[in-house]
Amino acid sequence: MPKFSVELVPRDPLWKTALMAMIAEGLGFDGLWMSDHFFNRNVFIALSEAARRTRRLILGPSVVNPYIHHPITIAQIMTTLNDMAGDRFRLAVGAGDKLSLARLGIERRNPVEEVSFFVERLRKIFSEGPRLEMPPVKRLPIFLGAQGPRMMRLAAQIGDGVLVNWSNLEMIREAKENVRDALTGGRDFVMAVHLIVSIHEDAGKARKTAVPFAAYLMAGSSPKYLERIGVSEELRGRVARCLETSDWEGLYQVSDGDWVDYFSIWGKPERLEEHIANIIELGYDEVVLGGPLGPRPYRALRWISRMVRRLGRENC
Amino acid sequence: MVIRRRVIAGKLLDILVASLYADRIPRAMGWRIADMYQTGELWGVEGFKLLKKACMMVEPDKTVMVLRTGRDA
Repeated sequence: MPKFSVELVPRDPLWKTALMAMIAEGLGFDGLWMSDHFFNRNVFIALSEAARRTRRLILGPSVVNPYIHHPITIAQIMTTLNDMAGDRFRLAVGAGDKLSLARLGIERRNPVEEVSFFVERLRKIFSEGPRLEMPPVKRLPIFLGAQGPRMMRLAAQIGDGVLVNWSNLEMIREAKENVRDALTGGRDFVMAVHLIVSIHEDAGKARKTAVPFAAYLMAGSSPKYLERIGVSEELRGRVARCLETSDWEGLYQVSDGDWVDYFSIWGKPERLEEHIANIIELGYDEVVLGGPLGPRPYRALRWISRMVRRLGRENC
Repeated sequence: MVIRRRVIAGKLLDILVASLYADRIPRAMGWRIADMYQTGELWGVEGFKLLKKACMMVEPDKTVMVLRTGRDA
């Protein structure tokens, strides 16, 4: 049975993020990932509050990107967080959200090489220095956030795990095959999938809530994948413009196609349960439930918690 | 009575967590809610009052509907 984690976006006041972390722990989830965007609350400060308020959850930022962070700063932060919660922390590194980087005037160039170099330097800091004048982190699992096959292969080569950033089952299956082919030596490696989830009794409401999250992911995806799923550059551009200008009505008007299904899993709770059962069959080690969760996130978490217990009993 | 309060409190917490206007809640009140959740006091009489007050600040219509009918929007 895989582990189940929740991903939070720390855009709300810190007390609310702390509240959500406690709710997730209380409902029996194993881990908590928190997204890192410059325009939201600082992910590390939010994580430190989550660490202070919980006892068991495994915590980590997902994903920090090499374009705006320096490895020495991340090493220092993760070592300091280690003071708070010992071995409960892990780290996910990825190329980041193309649209957010563009808002800073940063082009996401050579993402695989940048991520590789960043992880290499980070590991070097932990093993060789420059020495941090703090008790060292005994073990910090480093995950790579990935969508494309090159990043999947890199994760298999240098990571302790991968966070596959797809919600569509076909893509999730393909990602598993890409990583499996590149993994060598039978070492410990965590295959995690990060789903954009929105569930509600009213499937229409669930879809509406999923759209902005799916749109962010779609607008930042590689043209090669967008072509494969039938998304034209013109549509991608329109979606990106709606996001940039917060034109939500405009976004809903261009979101009637199937593309939303590639970047999110939405609908009644039973649909998510079936999806997760399929992912378990594929042999994933961790399922991360991210995105809005639903128009009612607290209720959605309670549904998912019951679902996880049921699936656990069936898989025993 | 206690069971009904607990059910309604759950629905109010749902409204609070879903709201996009959490910044309208004074910081001290927000932290008090987090503290009371942590200790379990949020499900008691004082916690219920606090939840009601916070929800009225962010989603008054939805809050009134839950309090009046027990059903959410």
